[in-house]
Amino acid sequence: MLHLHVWGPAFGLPSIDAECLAIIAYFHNVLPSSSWRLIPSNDPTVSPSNLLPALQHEDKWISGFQPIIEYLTSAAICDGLDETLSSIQRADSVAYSAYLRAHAGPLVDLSLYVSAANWAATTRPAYSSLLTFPLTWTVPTLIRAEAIKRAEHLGLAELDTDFDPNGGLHLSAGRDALPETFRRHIPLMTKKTVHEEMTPEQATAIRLFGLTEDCLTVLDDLMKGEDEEHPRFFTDAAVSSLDCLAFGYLALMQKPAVPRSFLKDWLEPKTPRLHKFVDSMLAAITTRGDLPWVTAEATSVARFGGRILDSVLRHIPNLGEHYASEMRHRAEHQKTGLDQRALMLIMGVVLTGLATGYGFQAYRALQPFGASTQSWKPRRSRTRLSEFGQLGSMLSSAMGPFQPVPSGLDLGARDQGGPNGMLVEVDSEVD
Amino acid sequence: MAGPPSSRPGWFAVPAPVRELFKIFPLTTLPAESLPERAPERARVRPSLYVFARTLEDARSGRPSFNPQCLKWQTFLRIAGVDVHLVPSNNHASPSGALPFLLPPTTSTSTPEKQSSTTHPTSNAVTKPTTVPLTGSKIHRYAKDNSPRETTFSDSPPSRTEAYEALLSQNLRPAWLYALYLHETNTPLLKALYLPPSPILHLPSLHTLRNAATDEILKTTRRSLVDPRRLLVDATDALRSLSALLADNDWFFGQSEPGLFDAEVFAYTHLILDEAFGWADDYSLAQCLVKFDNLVEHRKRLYERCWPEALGEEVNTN
Amino acid sequence: MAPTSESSGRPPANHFNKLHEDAQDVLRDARTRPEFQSAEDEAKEQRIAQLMVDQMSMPMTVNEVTVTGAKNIRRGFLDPILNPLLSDSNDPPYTVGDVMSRLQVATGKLSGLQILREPPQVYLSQSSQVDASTSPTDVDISIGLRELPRFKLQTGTDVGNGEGSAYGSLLWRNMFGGAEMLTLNAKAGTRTRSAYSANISAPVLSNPDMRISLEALSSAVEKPWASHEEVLKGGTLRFSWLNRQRDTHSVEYSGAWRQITGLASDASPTVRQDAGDTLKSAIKHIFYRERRDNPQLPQQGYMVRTGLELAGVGPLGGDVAFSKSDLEVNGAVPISLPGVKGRTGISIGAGFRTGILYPLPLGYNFGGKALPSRLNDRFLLGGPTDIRSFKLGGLGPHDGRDAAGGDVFAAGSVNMLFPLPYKGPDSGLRLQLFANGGRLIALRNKLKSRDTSEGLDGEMVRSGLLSAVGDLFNGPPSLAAGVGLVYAHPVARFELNFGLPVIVRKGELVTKGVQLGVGINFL
Repeated sequence: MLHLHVWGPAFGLPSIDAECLAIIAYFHNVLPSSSWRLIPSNDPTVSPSNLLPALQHEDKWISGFQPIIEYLTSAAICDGLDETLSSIQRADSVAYSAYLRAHAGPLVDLSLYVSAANWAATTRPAYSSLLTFPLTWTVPTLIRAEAIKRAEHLGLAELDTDFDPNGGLHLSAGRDALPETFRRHIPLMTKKTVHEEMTPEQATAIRLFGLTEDCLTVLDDLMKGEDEEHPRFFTDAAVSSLDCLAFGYLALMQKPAVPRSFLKDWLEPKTPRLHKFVDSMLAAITTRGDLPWVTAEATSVARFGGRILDSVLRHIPNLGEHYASEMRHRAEHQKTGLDQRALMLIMGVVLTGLATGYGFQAYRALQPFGASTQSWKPRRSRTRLSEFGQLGSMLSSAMGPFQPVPSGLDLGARDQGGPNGMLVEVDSEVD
Repeated sequence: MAGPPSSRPGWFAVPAPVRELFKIFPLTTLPAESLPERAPERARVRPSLYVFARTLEDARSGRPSFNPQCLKWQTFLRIAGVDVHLVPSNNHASPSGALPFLLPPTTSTSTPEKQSSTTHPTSNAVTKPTTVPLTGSKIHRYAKDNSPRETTFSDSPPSRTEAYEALLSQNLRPAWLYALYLHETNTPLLKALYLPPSPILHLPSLHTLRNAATDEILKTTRRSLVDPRRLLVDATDALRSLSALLADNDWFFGQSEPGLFDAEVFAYTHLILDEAFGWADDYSLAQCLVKFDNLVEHRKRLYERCWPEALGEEVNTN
Repeated sequence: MAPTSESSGRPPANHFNKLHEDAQDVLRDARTRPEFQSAEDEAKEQRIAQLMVDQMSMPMTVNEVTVTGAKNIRRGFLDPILNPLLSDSNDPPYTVGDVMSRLQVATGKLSGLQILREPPQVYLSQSSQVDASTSPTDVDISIGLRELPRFKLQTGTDVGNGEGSAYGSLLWRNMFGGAEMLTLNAKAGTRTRSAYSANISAPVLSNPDMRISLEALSSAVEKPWASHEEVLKGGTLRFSWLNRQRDTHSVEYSGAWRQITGLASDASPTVRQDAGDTLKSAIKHIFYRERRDNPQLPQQGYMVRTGLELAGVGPLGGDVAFSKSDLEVNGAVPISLPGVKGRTGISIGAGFRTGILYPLPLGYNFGGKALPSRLNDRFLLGGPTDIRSFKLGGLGPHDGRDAAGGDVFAAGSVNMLFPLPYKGPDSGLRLQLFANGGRLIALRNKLKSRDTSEGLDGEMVRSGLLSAVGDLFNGPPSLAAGVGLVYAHPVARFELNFGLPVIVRKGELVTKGVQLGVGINFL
C-alpha cells in the first residue's frame, strides 16, 4: 500500500500546494484508487526530507514530485506516464518542468503569498482551515516568508505593503548568479512618483503582466496541439508527467478566488487553451472516481507540542535563522537525537550563558569600588622633631589670606579649562 | 542652491547682471589634472568587459573566466566577433551586484574631459551614455549591434530556448553551486576563486558565500533541504535533455551558427570539463557530462572556434 | 575694613564740625578718600604677598588625607594621585607651599578624569593633637568629591553639512573604579547609512593626561563625491598624552576592513576599478599644538598639527602599503587700529595644509614593487571647510563627476575677519574676506608604459612623486575668493560665504555663489 502525504485541499482543489496537486493528478492517472491512500497530513516533518508531497512505501520515504515518479518506475510499481514519449519529447518534458518551477512557481508565490491582499483574503484563511490552533498563527507566516524569499528575485516586493522600501530587503532583478548575493546594498531609486497613487499591484502591474505573459506564452506555445477539447502538452500521450506538473501550477493560478486576480485575468482571455487544460485535467480527476482520502492519524501531544515550539523558534529574529539552518543541517545528515555536534552546541550555549551570568555576578560583587570615605595616612615612624613649635599661630595667619592663592599656584592645569581645586573653607584652631 | 546657472531651480532665478558675473568666473581654466596611477585610461578604444579572473595575466590574454555568467557573455562576445578588453573585477564594482558588465568604448564625440567639466552649462546632458555599464540583455543587444560579422543572428525558437534556459538555471546551476560552494573538498578551490586574498577576511566571507549559496539552492529547487545526490540526478537529467536537444547538430536548435544558448551551455560544460579548473574528484559533474559525447564535442567545437589561439597550448581534455 | 564702610555712611563734609573732631576721626576721614584707599590696598597686597612668601616656606606636613564621596573610585586608583601629599612619599612636602601646590596638582588630576560633577572641594584642618602620633605641623586634608552618574544615555538628531541623522549614545563612566570610560554610539542618517562604535578608554597611572583607548567601529557611509558607499569595520588602539608644553601626542595602531560598494549607476571607471575589499593595517603618530585663543574664531595664536601614517609595511600586513604624512598650520594675528583702544576684533588669519602619500612595497618585500594608491587612501581637497567655493572633494583629478583623489596636495587660505557693526569684537559674529586655493595631484608614472598593474618599482615612485611635487609649484593653484559671514558657536563654526572661483582646472567642481559650511576645523 502506498501512502501519499500531502498538503490538504483548498480553493476547491485537492491540495493547496502545486507539487502536491501534481502528484495527486499523477497517481490518479497511473494507479487504481485501491492501491494508494491520500493523507492530508499538512506537516512536512512527517518525511525525513521535510517536504510534501511525500510517499511512504513500506519503510521508505520519498519526497518531491520528480523523485516519487522516479521511485514508482524504478520500484516497478507501475508504468510511468512518459513511457510513450520520444527522446526529444522527454527532453522537452524535463526542460518545461524546469521552466514551470523557475517561472510559474514564483508567479504562484506572488499571487497567493506575496500579495498582501490575496494572502489576507484567501491564502491565509485556507491554511487556517488546514491547520489546528495554535499552528494557524505560526506556520502560515513561515510558509509565506519562504515564498517571499523565492519570489524575491523578481523585484516585486511592492506587492507586499509590509515591506519597508528602505529596509534591509533591497530587491532588484538581475541577481542570478552567485556570489552576487554577497552584496547587501543595491542602490535603489527610492524616489516616490505616481506610483504612490496606485495600489501596489497597479504600480507593478506592467512588470507583472510582462512576467505573466512571458511565462504563459511559453507554455501555450508548447501546447499547440490539435485536440481542442482536451488539450495536452504531448499529443501522443493521454497525460504526461509534464501535464500533471503544469496542472499543479496552472490550477493554483486559475482556481483560487483572490481579490487581485492578475493571473486569472490573463489566463482566461489570453491563453484559453491553458484555461481549458486546467478544467479538463480537473474534470479527469473527478470523473475517474473519488480520491482515496484517509484522515491523518491523530498526532501525539508531544509531537504537536514539538511542532508548535519549532515554529515559534523559527520566528525569533536572528536566532530563528540559526535554529533553522541548524535543523536543516541535522536533517541533511539524517541525525536524530543527541550527537556530538548538538551536544557541543548545547554545551556552548550553556557555557556562554554561565560565563555571562558569572561575569555579571562577579562584576556586581566587585562594587562598590570605592567607599564613601577613604583615608590615607602616612605609614611613618614618629621621627618628626617637634621643632615646628608655634605652628598653630602661623597657620592661623597663613590661612587667613590664603584664599586667592590657588590661581596663583596654578601648576600644570592651565589648559584643562579651569577645573582647579577650590579651597572653600579653612578651619584651623589657635591654641 | 549655488550650482552652475543651468541647474538653478526656477523659483530662485538669478538676475541677469549676476548671471553675467557668474559667466566671467572662473577667469582662467587650466587643463585637467591627470588621473591616478590605478585609474583606467580616460578614453576606451575597446569595450571593457568586467569579469572574474584568476590572474591579471588571464584577463589580459582573454582566457575564459571561471564564472559561468562571465564566461557566457565572454563567449557570446567572441562568437559575435566583438573585441573586448577584459578587466578583472568583483561584484562590488557592478551596478546590478553581479558580474559581468560591459563598458562601451568612449566615442570621439563625447570624451570624458568634455563631459566632466561642469562649467559648461550643457555638459550634464552628455555625461550619461558612456559611463553607464551594460548588463544582461543589454550586452546581448550591444554585441548584436556591434558585431562586425555579416550574418545576422538567426533567433532560435524563443519559447523552447526559454524552457531550456530554465533547465540550465533550474537543474544544472544548483548542482554547480553545490559543487563549488558547499562541497567540502572544493573549499580550496572556492578560496582561490572567490575569497579575498587576506586570510582575516576568509572566514566571514566564506560563511557569507556558503549561506548565500545554500539559500539560492533552496530557493531554486523549492525544497527545504540540500540533497547533493538529488542535485546530481537533476543535473544529469538536464544534461541528458540537452544532449537529446543537440542530437547530431553542430549547434543547438539546428542553427548554422552558434548563438547565446550555445554560449550558455558552453559556459558550464567548459568549466566542468576544464582539467585545469581544480575540481575535487569526489563530487564530479564531469563524470555526468562525459557520458554525453555530443555535448563534449560541442564544447570542443565552440572552444576551438572562439579561442583559436589556445589550440596549441590546450591539451584536449578527453 | 569695617571702619571705612561705616564712614561712607556719614553726611558730606561739615568743616566746622571737623574741627571738633579728634585726630582719629580725621584719619578715618582721610582713609575714605579713594587715592588713599588705593595706596592702602596696594600696600596691603604687598604685605599679603610678603606674608604669602613667608608663609609658603612655613613648615607643614600632611597627617591624613580623607576623600569623601568616592563611592566608585578604587583606592588603588587614587593612590598615585594622593601619595605625593603624604609625608611618607619619596619626596614628601614640608612647607605650606609644597602642600598647596601638590594639592593643586592632585585636584587638577581628579577633575581631569571627567568623572566628577564639579571640581573637588578641599578642606584643611589641623590634626587633632590628642593623637600622639601627630606632630604640631600636621594638617588633615579632606577632599570632597561628587561623582557624575555612571550612566548617560543620549539620543537626538543632527542636521548639518547636507546630512540629516539620528543618533543614540551610551556613556558608562568609571566602569571598574579607575575612571575607565565606555562609549557606545549608534548613528543612522542620510549620508552615514549606519555607524556603530564602541570605545573604551582609561587613564594610565591615574594620570588624566595619559590615556589609552581601544575603539571598534563599523560603519557604512555614502560618498557621493565619488559615487560609492564605503563600508568599514575596524579597530584602533590609541595611546595619547600631553607633554610639558601641553601639546597632544598620540600614537595609534589601526586595522580596518574597507569595502567600496554600492556604486552609483554612472560611477566612473576609476571608482569601479577600486571597488571591493581592502585591508589596512597602519600605525600613526599625530602631534597637535594649539596656541590659538579660540579655535573656532582665532584672533591670535597658532596651531600646528602633523600626522604620519605607515601602513602595510613589514609586520603590519594588510593589503595596502604606503606612508602618508600631512601637515597643517593655522594662525592669526590681531590688527589694532590707531585711535581704538583694546581689541578691535579685526584679525588676519592664514592656514596651510600639505600632504604626501608615498606608495610602498607590501610586507617584507622592501625592494619590490609598490602598489599604487587606492581611492580610499588618497587625499581629497575642496569643500566649504577647506577650500571654499569648491564642492566637497571638488579639486584635483576627476573622472567624470567623481573625485579620484590625489597623492600630493598643498592648500592655503588667507582670510580677514571684521566684527559686525553694532555687535562689537566680543560677539561670535564676523564678516570675512577670504582667498583660498590649492592643488591636488595624483602620482603618475611618467614613463608611458601602462604595464604598472603589478606595481611600481622604487624608481618609478620616486620620479613620479618628484614630478608631482614639482607640479605643485609649477603652475598656479586652483583659486577662489569671496566674502562671507562667520559665526563661532562653542560647538562648531558656521560660515555663509559668497565666493567665485578665479582659477580652476578642467573637471574640478566649483560652487559659484553662496555656500554654507559647518565644521570644527577650518582652513
